[in-house]
Amino acid sequence: METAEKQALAIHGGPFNVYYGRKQVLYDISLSIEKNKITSIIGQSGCGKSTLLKSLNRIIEEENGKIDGNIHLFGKNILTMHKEKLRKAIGMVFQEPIVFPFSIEKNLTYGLDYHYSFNKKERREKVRHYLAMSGLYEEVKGDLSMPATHLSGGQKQRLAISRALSVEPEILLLDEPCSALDMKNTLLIEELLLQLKSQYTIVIVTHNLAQAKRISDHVIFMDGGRIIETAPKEKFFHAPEHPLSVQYIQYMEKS
Amino acid sequence: MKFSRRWGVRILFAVLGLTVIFVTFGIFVYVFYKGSDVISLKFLLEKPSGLPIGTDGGVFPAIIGSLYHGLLAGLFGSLIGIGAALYLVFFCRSAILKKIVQVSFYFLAGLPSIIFGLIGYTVLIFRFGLERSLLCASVATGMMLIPYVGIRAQKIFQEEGLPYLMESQSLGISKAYAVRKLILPVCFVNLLSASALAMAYGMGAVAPMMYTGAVLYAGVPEGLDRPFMSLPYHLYILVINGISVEFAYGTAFVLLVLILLIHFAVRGTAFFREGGEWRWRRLRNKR
Repeated sequence: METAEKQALAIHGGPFNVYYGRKQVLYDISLSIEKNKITSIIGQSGCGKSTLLKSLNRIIEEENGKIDGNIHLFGKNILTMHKEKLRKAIGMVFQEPIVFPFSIEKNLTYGLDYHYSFNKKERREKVRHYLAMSGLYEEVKGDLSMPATHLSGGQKQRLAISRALSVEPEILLLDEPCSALDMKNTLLIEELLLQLKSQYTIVIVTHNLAQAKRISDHVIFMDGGRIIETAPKEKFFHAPEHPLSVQYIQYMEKS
Repeated sequence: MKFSRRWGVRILFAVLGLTVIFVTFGIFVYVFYKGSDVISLKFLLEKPSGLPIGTDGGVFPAIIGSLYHGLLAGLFGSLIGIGAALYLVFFCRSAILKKIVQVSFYFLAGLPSIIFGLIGYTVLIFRFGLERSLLCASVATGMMLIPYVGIRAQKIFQEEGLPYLMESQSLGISKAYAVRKLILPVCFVNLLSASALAMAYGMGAVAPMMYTGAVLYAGVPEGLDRPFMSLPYHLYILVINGISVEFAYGTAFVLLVLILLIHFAVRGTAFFREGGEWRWRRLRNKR
């Protein structure tokens, strides 16, 4: 791969395999994630989308998963990187919006205090900044000491995004972040992701084809633990190459 | 299911449920009724007196002795039990070691309490040459409380702590920091509740303390190396020697009140917590 081309990639890897114990779950994965773009990983339930996402920041290893091969983050092999450094650089937002049972403010300062040493004023400013980035600040600015558990589902997910951004990652992984949300909140999150892509590289797992069409620049289609097709959005939806991709798009559009 | 069988099952479970309520309230009401006759300031604040000892006076040294003993045993059992549970849930990677610790917990939980007294006596007093004392009794009782707290703590960490761990790790935060700053504060009330239950349980266990430190008569314990009076042991002596059944019920009354107070104190603490934070800290930040 040419150097200039490499520099435009946030993550490139492969081939690599992923195992849970002795069971192989991902096969011969090779992928390239472009910088400051939104890449959607789509496919049937159980095809390995979330496993692939969890492999990118090695959070899969906390579930006793094992990666065998190479994955590079801006040219560095993630398998030799310190896990904490890697996960600081590659933030993640999970499917269920889980907030820590602390105040809204403490949900953000939790990560900030670990990685940085800001004074009280700087911390407040950071909290305001990251809440504003997810569009949540205006809704909660009156009471940042409110328990985060009192927020609505959509607000919790935006808080989770703010919390992930608070440690200043370069890449943001999102595992079906809208699957538990209503249409209004889904659109809010999508709009937020479109705004964030100028500063972050975003990889999102979604089972919602319409969502992938709306927000992604690139699409990775998976089936049976393998990447079947990788293409720019327009090409994938208008002229998919692989028969399985064609079948999947037709099926999803009908249903 | 047939109508009659469905109603039969419902009635059976209702009766079983009511039995639990009846037994619990029955014990408390009966002990309070029988013990209230001897309860007075003199009974609560004086040493036992009379001949044989315990036919007059009060149970003050036994109240203080029981509190010290329960507190120390609870602390000993909780520290080891919670520590072991933390290790099992968050840090132990070896499935075999995990299984061994778990089996040990259950095995220890099944041991009769008198065995802990015997081991405490053999190791601490016979082997190490320590005096029968508050410390020896607390260690022997504390050993008995390890699985009592450990099994509960394991469940608490799995249900309340584990779901947050991966979120925390995805921020690039170490497990040790997450345990200290997130998991323990979040689980604090339930861990405290498990420890308080253990303390109450330990306070009432006669067998581990009778060989290791509890005595028929002593003043308020002045140090960890002193023998002490304890409410359940005092009660046991009053009944077994036929000294005074009335005073025995009075002693049981005081013991139950202490246990109830411990429970209320934990409930009270829970009121001041919300999630992983103290309410007043949140209010102070709000200002």
